[in-house]
Amino acid sequence: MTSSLPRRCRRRLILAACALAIALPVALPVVFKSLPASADNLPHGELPHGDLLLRDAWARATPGGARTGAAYLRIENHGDTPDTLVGAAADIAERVEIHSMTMENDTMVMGPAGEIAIPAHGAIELKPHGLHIMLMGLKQPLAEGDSFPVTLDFAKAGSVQIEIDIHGIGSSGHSDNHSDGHSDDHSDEEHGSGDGEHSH
Amino acid sequence: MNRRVLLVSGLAVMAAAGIGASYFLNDRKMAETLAVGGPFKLTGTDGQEVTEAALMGKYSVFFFGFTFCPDACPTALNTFTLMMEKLGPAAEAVQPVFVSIDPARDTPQAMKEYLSSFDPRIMGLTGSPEAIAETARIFRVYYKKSGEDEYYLMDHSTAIIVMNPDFEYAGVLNGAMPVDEMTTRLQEIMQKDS
Repeated sequence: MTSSLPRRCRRRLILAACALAIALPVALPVVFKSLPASADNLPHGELPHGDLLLRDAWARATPGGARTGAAYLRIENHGDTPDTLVGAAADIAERVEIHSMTMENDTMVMGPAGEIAIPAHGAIELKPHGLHIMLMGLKQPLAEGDSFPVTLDFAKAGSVQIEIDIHGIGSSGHSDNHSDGHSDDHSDEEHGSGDGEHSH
Repeated sequence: MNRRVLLVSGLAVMAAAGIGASYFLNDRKMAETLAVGGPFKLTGTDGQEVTEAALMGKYSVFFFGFTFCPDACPTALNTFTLMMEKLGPAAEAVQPVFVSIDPARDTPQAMKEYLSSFDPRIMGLTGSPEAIAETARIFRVYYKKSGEDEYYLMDHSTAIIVMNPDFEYAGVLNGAMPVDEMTTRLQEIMQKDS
Protein backbone atom coordinates (compact mmCIF):
# COMPACT_ATOMS: atom_id res chain seq x y z
CA MET A 1 0.00 0.00 0.00
CA THR A 2 2.70 2.40 0.95
CA SER A 3 4.45 1.67 -2.31
CA SER A 4 1.67 3.54 -4.11
CA LEU A 5 2.29 6.69 -2.07
CA PRO A 6 4.59 9.41 -3.25
CA ARG A 7 8.11 9.10 -1.80
CA ARG A 8 7.72 12.19 0.39
CA CYS A 9 4.64 10.78 2.11
CA ARG A 10 6.37 7.47 2.72
CA ARG A 11 9.31 9.17 4.35
CA ARG A 12 7.01 11.10 6.66
CA LEU A 13 5.21 7.92 7.55
CA ILE A 14 8.46 6.24 8.48
CA LEU A 15 9.47 9.28 10.50
CA ALA A 16 6.15 9.20 12.37
CA ALA A 17 6.54 5.47 13.07
CA CYS A 18 10.04 6.06 14.47
CA ALA A 19 8.81 8.90 16.65
CA LEU A 20 6.04 6.69 17.98
CA ALA A 21 8.45 3.85 18.63
CA ILE A 22 10.51 6.17 20.80
CA ALA A 23 7.69 8.07 22.44
CA LEU A 24 5.47 5.15 23.39
CA PRO A 25 7.86 3.37 25.76
CA VAL A 26 8.48 6.73 27.39
CA ALA A 27 4.82 7.71 27.68
CA LEU A 28 3.24 4.45 28.78
CA PRO A 29 4.80 4.19 32.28
CA VAL A 30 3.67 7.76 32.95
CA VAL A 31 0.13 6.78 32.01
CA PHE A 32 0.22 3.67 34.21
CA LYS A 33 1.59 5.55 37.17
CA SER A 34 -1.41 7.80 37.16
CA LEU A 35 -3.81 4.85 37.37
CA PRO A 36 -5.09 3.68 40.77
CA ALA A 37 -2.15 1.98 42.44
CA SER A 38 -1.99 -1.63 43.49
CA ALA A 39 -0.64 -2.68 46.85
CA ASP A 40 2.76 -3.37 45.38
CA ASN A 41 4.04 0.14 45.08
CA LEU A 42 2.45 1.65 48.18
CA PRO A 43 3.87 2.16 51.64
CA HIS A 44 3.83 -1.28 53.22
CA GLY A 45 0.45 -2.23 54.59
CA GLU A 46 -1.75 0.36 52.84
CA LEU A 47 -4.50 -0.57 50.42
CA PRO A 48 -6.83 2.02 48.88
CA HIS A 49 -10.35 0.85 48.02
CA GLY A 50 -12.67 3.49 46.60
CA ASP A 51 -12.82 6.25 49.20
CA LEU A 52 -11.45 3.93 51.82
CA LEU A 53 -7.88 3.25 52.85
CA LEU A 54 -7.20 -0.06 54.58
CA ARG A 55 -3.97 -0.30 56.50
CA ASP A 56 -1.90 -2.14 59.08
CA ALA A 57 -3.74 -5.43 58.74
CA TRP A 58 -2.31 -7.95 61.19
CA ALA A 59 -3.08 -10.98 63.31
CA ARG A 60 -1.36 -12.78 66.17
CA ALA A 61 0.16 -16.21 65.78
CA THR A 62 -2.12 -18.77 67.37
CA PRO A 63 -1.24 -20.90 70.42
CA GLY A 64 -0.87 -24.66 69.89
CA GLY A 65 -4.05 -26.32 68.70
CA ALA A 66 -6.07 -23.10 68.83
CA ARG A 67 -9.12 -23.13 66.59
CA THR A 68 -9.78 -19.41 66.65
CA GLY A 69 -7.81 -16.38 65.63
CA ALA A 70 -8.39 -12.67 65.36
CA ALA A 71 -7.33 -10.18 62.69
CA TYR A 72 -7.12 -6.44 63.11
CA LEU A 73 -6.72 -3.41 60.85
CA ARG A 74 -7.42 0.28 60.47
CA ILE A 75 -10.04 1.47 57.97
CA GLU A 76 -10.03 5.13 56.97
CA ASN A 77 -12.80 6.80 55.01
CA HIS A 78 -11.43 9.65 52.93
CA GLY A 79 -14.74 10.24 51.18
CA ASP A 80 -17.63 12.60 51.83
CA THR A 81 -20.18 9.87 52.50
CA PRO A 82 -20.21 7.22 55.20
CA ASP A 83 -19.68 3.55 54.39
CA THR A 84 -20.38 0.36 56.34
CA LEU A 85 -18.35 -2.78 56.91
CA VAL A 86 -20.98 -5.45 56.40
CA GLY A 87 -19.01 -8.68 56.47
CA ALA A 88 -15.81 -10.61 56.06
CA ALA A 89 -14.70 -13.93 54.59
CA ALA A 90 -11.52 -15.96 54.53
CA ASP A 91 -10.49 -19.36 53.27
CA ILE A 92 -8.33 -19.97 56.33
CA ALA A 93 -11.31 -20.48 58.64
CA GLU A 94 -14.68 -22.23 58.51
CA ARG A 95 -16.53 -19.15 59.67
CA VAL A 96 -15.53 -15.50 59.71
CA GLU A 97 -17.45 -12.73 61.45
CA ILE A 98 -16.82 -9.24 62.76
CA HIS A 99 -16.86 -9.45 66.55
CA SER A 100 -16.66 -7.00 69.36
CA MET A 101 -15.22 -7.40 72.81
CA THR A 102 -16.52 -5.21 75.56
CA MET A 103 -16.08 -5.15 79.29
CA GLU A 104 -19.25 -5.07 81.35
CA ASN A 105 -18.09 -4.46 84.89
CA ASP A 106 -15.37 -7.08 85.25
CA THR A 107 -16.87 -9.43 82.69
CA MET A 108 -15.61 -9.75 79.16
CA VAL A 109 -18.38 -10.10 76.62
CA MET A 110 -17.59 -11.17 73.06
CA GLY A 111 -19.88 -11.67 70.12
CA PRO A 112 -21.00 -10.63 66.64
CA ALA A 113 -20.83 -6.88 66.25
CA GLY A 114 -23.27 -6.47 63.36
CA GLU A 115 -22.47 -3.92 60.70
CA ILE A 116 -19.86 -1.30 61.49
CA ALA A 117 -20.34 2.26 60.27
CA ILE A 118 -17.31 4.15 58.98
CA PRO A 119 -18.07 7.88 59.10
CA ALA A 120 -17.13 10.23 56.26
CA HIS A 121 -13.64 11.60 56.84
CA GLY A 122 -13.39 9.23 59.77
CA ALA A 123 -11.87 5.87 60.62
CA ILE A 124 -12.50 2.70 62.57
CA GLU A 125 -9.89 0.62 64.29
CA LEU A 126 -10.11 -3.12 64.74
CA LYS A 127 -7.68 -3.88 67.55
CA PRO A 128 -7.13 -6.12 70.59
CA HIS A 129 -9.78 -5.78 73.30
CA GLY A 130 -12.13 -4.21 70.77
CA LEU A 131 -13.50 -4.96 67.34
CA HIS A 132 -11.82 -7.79 65.49
CA ILE A 133 -12.25 -10.10 62.54
CA MET A 134 -13.06 -13.36 64.29
CA LEU A 135 -11.74 -16.45 62.55
CA MET A 136 -13.53 -19.56 63.80
CA GLY A 137 -12.62 -23.11 62.93
CA LEU A 138 -9.12 -22.37 61.68
CA LYS A 139 -8.04 -24.83 59.02
CA GLN A 140 -4.40 -24.27 59.87
CA PRO A 141 -2.47 -22.51 62.63
CA LEU A 142 -1.49 -18.89 62.16
CA ALA A 143 2.30 -18.91 62.08
CA GLU A 144 4.36 -15.82 62.76
CA GLY A 145 5.87 -14.39 59.59
CA ASP A 146 3.20 -15.84 57.32
CA SER A 147 0.24 -13.95 55.90
CA PHE A 148 -3.20 -14.87 54.65
CA PRO A 149 -5.94 -13.12 52.62
CA VAL A 150 -9.23 -11.88 54.01
CA THR A 151 -12.08 -10.42 51.95
CA LEU A 152 -13.90 -7.46 53.49
CA ASP A 153 -17.34 -6.38 52.25
CA PHE A 154 -18.35 -2.75 52.34
CA ALA A 155 -21.86 -1.50 51.56
CA LYS A 156 -20.64 1.29 49.29
CA ALA A 157 -17.10 0.44 48.28
CA GLY A 158 -17.83 -3.22 47.66
CA SER A 159 -15.57 -6.16 48.37
CA VAL A 160 -11.81 -6.09 48.61
CA GLN A 161 -9.19 -8.66 49.45
CA ILE A 162 -6.47 -7.71 51.87
CA GLU A 163 -3.42 -9.59 53.08
CA ILE A 164 -3.11 -10.05 56.86
CA ASP A 165 0.45 -10.19 58.26
CA ILE A 166 0.92 -12.63 61.15
CA HIS A 167 2.84 -11.22 64.10
CA GLY A 168 4.07 -12.96 67.24
CA ILE A 169 1.74 -14.41 69.81
CA GLY A 170 2.09 -11.43 72.14
CA SER A 171 2.21 -8.67 69.57
CA SER A 172 0.24 -5.49 70.01
CA GLY A 173 0.19 -4.57 66.38
CA HIS A 174 2.27 -2.21 64.31
CA SER A 175 3.18 -0.10 67.27
CA ASP A 176 5.97 -2.46 68.21
CA ASN A 177 8.68 -3.86 66.01
CA HIS A 178 9.24 -6.92 68.12
CA SER A 179 7.29 -9.93 67.05
CA ASP A 180 6.36 -11.44 70.37
CA GLY A 181 7.23 -8.90 72.97
CA HIS A 182 9.77 -11.19 74.61
CA SER A 183 12.51 -8.69 74.17
CA ASP A 184 10.59 -5.67 75.37
CA ASP A 185 8.20 -4.77 78.13
CA HIS A 186 5.57 -3.18 75.97
CA SER A 187 3.32 -6.10 75.32
CA ASP A 188 0.34 -4.01 76.30
CA GLU A 189 -1.95 -2.29 73.84
CA GLU A 190 -2.27 1.41 73.32
CA HIS A 191 -5.92 1.58 74.28
CA GLY A 192 -7.36 1.89 77.73
CA SER A 193 -6.12 4.55 80.06
CA GLY A 194 -4.67 6.51 77.21
CA ASP A 195 -2.52 8.46 79.56
CA GLY A 196 0.37 8.48 77.16
CA GLU A 197 2.80 6.71 79.42
CA HIS A 198 4.04 4.48 76.64
CA SER A 199 7.48 5.16 75.35
CA HIS A 200 8.45 3.09 72.36
CA MET B 1 -48.72 4.36 114.49
CA ASN B 2 -50.15 3.89 111.02
CA ARG B 3 -49.29 0.38 109.81
CA ARG B 4 -48.45 1.66 106.37
CA VAL B 5 -45.95 4.15 107.75
CA LEU B 6 -44.36 1.32 109.71
CA LEU B 7 -44.13 -0.84 106.64
CA VAL B 8 -42.64 1.89 104.47
CA SER B 9 -40.11 2.94 107.07
CA GLY B 10 -39.26 -0.70 107.71
CA LEU B 11 -38.63 -1.24 104.04
CA ALA B 12 -36.57 1.93 103.91
CA VAL B 13 -34.40 0.74 106.76
CA MET B 14 -33.91 -2.65 105.10
CA ALA B 15 -33.07 -1.01 101.80
CA ALA B 16 -30.52 1.20 103.48
CA ALA B 17 -29.01 -1.82 105.16
CA GLY B 18 -28.94 -3.61 101.84
CA ILE B 19 -27.21 -0.72 100.14
CA GLY B 20 -24.73 -0.48 102.97
CA ALA B 21 -24.00 -4.19 102.83
CA SER B 22 -23.62 -4.06 99.07
CA TYR B 23 -21.17 -1.20 99.42
CA PHE B 24 -19.11 -3.17 101.88
CA LEU B 25 -19.32 -6.35 99.85
CA ASN B 26 -17.93 -4.52 96.85
CA ASP B 27 -15.17 -3.08 98.93
CA ARG B 28 -12.07 -5.12 98.35
CA LYS B 29 -11.06 -5.05 102.00
CA MET B 30 -14.35 -6.59 102.98
CA ALA B 31 -14.01 -9.19 100.24
CA GLU B 32 -10.84 -10.39 101.85
CA THR B 33 -12.69 -11.46 104.93
CA LEU B 34 -15.25 -13.34 102.88
CA ALA B 35 -14.07 -16.62 101.42
CA VAL B 36 -12.73 -16.15 97.91
CA GLY B 37 -10.99 -19.20 96.57
CA GLY B 38 -10.81 -22.49 98.37
CA PRO B 39 -10.29 -26.24 98.01
CA PHE B 40 -10.85 -27.68 94.58
CA LYS B 41 -10.50 -30.94 92.66
CA LEU B 42 -9.68 -30.53 88.98
CA THR B 43 -7.74 -32.27 86.21
CA GLY B 44 -4.27 -31.34 85.01
CA THR B 45 -2.99 -31.42 81.45
CA ASP B 46 -1.77 -35.01 81.83
CA GLY B 47 -5.17 -36.13 83.01
CA GLN B 48 -4.05 -36.28 86.64
CA GLU B 49 -6.17 -35.12 89.56
CA VAL B 50 -5.01 -31.80 90.98
CA THR B 51 -6.16 -30.26 94.25
CA GLU B 52 -5.11 -27.18 96.17
CA ALA B 53 -2.41 -29.32 97.82
CA ALA B 54 -0.36 -28.94 94.65
CA LEU B 55 -0.36 -25.19 95.08
CA MET B 56 0.48 -24.78 98.74
CA GLY B 57 3.83 -23.16 99.42
CA LYS B 58 3.59 -20.71 96.53
CA TYR B 59 1.52 -17.69 95.54
CA SER B 60 -0.87 -19.10 92.98
CA VAL B 61 -2.32 -16.77 90.38
CA PHE B 62 -5.61 -18.02 88.92
CA PHE B 63 -6.85 -16.91 85.48
CA PHE B 64 -10.13 -18.34 84.19
CA GLY B 65 -10.51 -18.52 80.40
CA PHE B 66 -10.91 -20.85 77.45
CA THR B 67 -8.87 -21.85 74.42
CA PHE B 68 -11.51 -20.82 71.88
CA CYS B 69 -10.83 -17.23 72.87
CA PRO B 70 -8.71 -15.43 70.27
CA ASP B 71 -7.73 -12.29 72.11
CA ALA B 72 -8.10 -11.84 75.85
CA CYS B 73 -6.90 -15.29 76.92
CA PRO B 74 -3.75 -15.41 74.79
CA THR B 75 -3.07 -11.86 75.99
CA ALA B 76 -3.36 -12.82 79.66
CA LEU B 77 -1.26 -15.96 79.20
CA ASN B 78 1.36 -13.99 77.33
CA THR B 79 1.36 -11.45 80.15
CA PHE B 80 1.87 -14.32 82.62
CA THR B 81 4.77 -15.50 80.51
CA LEU B 82 6.41 -12.10 80.46
CA MET B 83 5.70 -11.56 84.15
CA MET B 84 7.45 -14.79 85.13
CA GLU B 85 10.48 -13.60 83.16
CA LYS B 86 10.33 -10.19 84.78
CA LEU B 87 10.13 -11.61 88.29
CA GLY B 88 13.43 -13.39 87.82
CA PRO B 89 14.34 -15.45 90.92
CA ALA B 90 11.14 -14.27 92.64
CA ALA B 91 9.21 -16.34 90.10
CA GLU B 92 10.12 -19.40 92.18
CA ALA B 93 7.45 -18.33 94.65
CA VAL B 94 4.74 -17.88 92.00
CA GLN B 95 2.52 -20.48 90.36
CA PRO B 96 0.40 -19.23 87.45
CA VAL B 97 -2.74 -21.27 86.85
CA PHE B 98 -5.04 -21.26 83.82
CA VAL B 99 -8.43 -22.80 84.55
CA SER B 100 -10.79 -23.50 81.70
CA ILE B 101 -14.40 -22.43 82.03
CA ASP B 102 -15.15 -24.30 78.81
CA PRO B 103 -14.44 -27.92 79.82
CA ALA B 104 -16.57 -29.30 76.97
CA ARG B 105 -13.95 -28.21 74.44
CA ASP B 106 -10.92 -27.80 76.69
CA THR B 107 -9.84 -31.36 77.31
CA PRO B 108 -6.53 -31.94 79.14
CA GLN B 109 -4.89 -32.59 75.77
CA ALA B 110 -6.26 -29.37 74.27
CA MET B 111 -5.04 -27.43 77.31
CA LYS B 112 -1.60 -29.01 77.07
CA GLU B 113 -1.24 -28.13 73.41
CA TYR B 114 -2.48 -24.58 73.96
CA LEU B 115 -0.19 -23.93 76.91
CA SER B 116 2.83 -25.24 75.02
CA SER B 117 2.92 -21.81 73.38
CA PHE B 118 3.42 -20.08 76.72
CA ASP B 119 5.65 -20.34 79.78
CA PRO B 120 5.95 -24.03 80.78
CA ARG B 121 5.43 -23.06 84.43
CA ILE B 122 1.78 -22.18 83.77
CA MET B 123 -0.41 -24.93 85.17
CA GLY B 124 -3.47 -25.82 83.11
CA LEU B 125 -6.57 -27.14 84.81
CA THR B 126 -9.84 -28.43 83.45
CA GLY B 127 -12.39 -30.95 84.66
CA SER B 128 -15.99 -32.03 84.52
CA PRO B 129 -18.56 -29.26 84.00
CA GLU B 130 -19.66 -29.77 87.60
CA ALA B 131 -16.13 -29.50 89.01
CA ILE B 132 -15.47 -26.38 86.95
CA ALA B 133 -18.75 -24.82 88.03
CA GLU B 134 -17.94 -25.52 91.67
CA THR B 135 -14.43 -24.09 91.36
CA ALA B 136 -15.68 -20.96 89.61
CA ARG B 137 -18.27 -20.54 92.35
CA ILE B 138 -15.60 -20.81 95.05
CA PHE B 139 -13.43 -18.26 93.27
CA ARG B 140 -16.43 -16.06 92.54
CA VAL B 141 -15.72 -16.08 88.84
CA TYR B 142 -18.56 -15.43 86.42
CA TYR B 143 -18.87 -17.24 83.11
CA LYS B 144 -21.65 -17.83 80.64
CA LYS B 145 -21.94 -19.59 77.31
CA SER B 146 -22.92 -17.33 74.43
CA GLY B 147 -23.99 -18.72 71.07
CA GLU B 148 -25.56 -22.01 70.23
CA ASP B 149 -23.51 -23.92 67.68
CA GLU B 150 -20.02 -25.42 67.75
CA TYR B 151 -18.45 -21.98 67.60
CA TYR B 152 -20.00 -20.77 70.84
CA LEU B 153 -18.09 -18.24 72.89
CA MET B 154 -17.89 -17.61 76.61
CA ASP B 155 -18.49 -14.43 78.51
CA HIS B 156 -16.27 -14.52 81.57
CA SER B 157 -14.76 -12.36 84.25
CA THR B 158 -11.19 -11.30 83.83
CA ALA B 159 -10.40 -11.12 87.52
CA ILE B 160 -7.22 -12.97 88.44
CA ILE B 161 -7.33 -14.35 91.97
CA VAL B 162 -4.09 -14.52 93.95
CA MET B 163 -3.88 -17.12 96.71
CA ASN B 164 -1.02 -17.11 99.25
CA PRO B 165 1.20 -20.10 100.15
CA ASP B 166 -1.36 -21.18 102.76
CA PHE B 167 -3.97 -21.09 100.01
CA GLU B 168 -5.81 -18.14 101.47
CA TYR B 169 -7.07 -15.25 99.39
CA ALA B 170 -4.31 -12.66 99.03
CA GLY B 171 -5.50 -10.25 96.34
CA VAL B 172 -6.81 -9.73 92.86
CA LEU B 173 -5.30 -8.75 89.49
CA ASN B 174 -6.88 -8.32 86.08
CA GLY B 175 -6.19 -10.11 82.81
CA ALA B 176 -6.17 -6.86 80.87
CA MET B 177 -3.34 -5.33 82.93
CA PRO B 178 -0.11 -4.63 81.07
CA VAL B 179 2.79 -6.77 82.29
CA ASP B 180 4.51 -3.97 84.24
CA GLU B 181 1.39 -3.21 86.19
CA MET B 182 0.55 -6.86 86.84
CA THR B 183 4.08 -7.62 88.04
CA THR B 184 4.20 -4.61 90.35
CA ARG B 185 0.75 -5.33 91.75
CA LEU B 186 1.63 -8.98 92.35
CA GLN B 187 4.85 -8.01 94.12
CA GLU B 188 2.85 -5.61 96.31
CA ILE B 189 0.44 -8.39 97.20
CA MET B 190 3.28 -10.76 98.07
CA GLN B 191 5.05 -8.16 100.22
CA LYS B 192 1.91 -7.12 102.03
CA ASP B 193 1.07 -10.71 102.78
CA SER B 194 4.47 -11.81 104.07
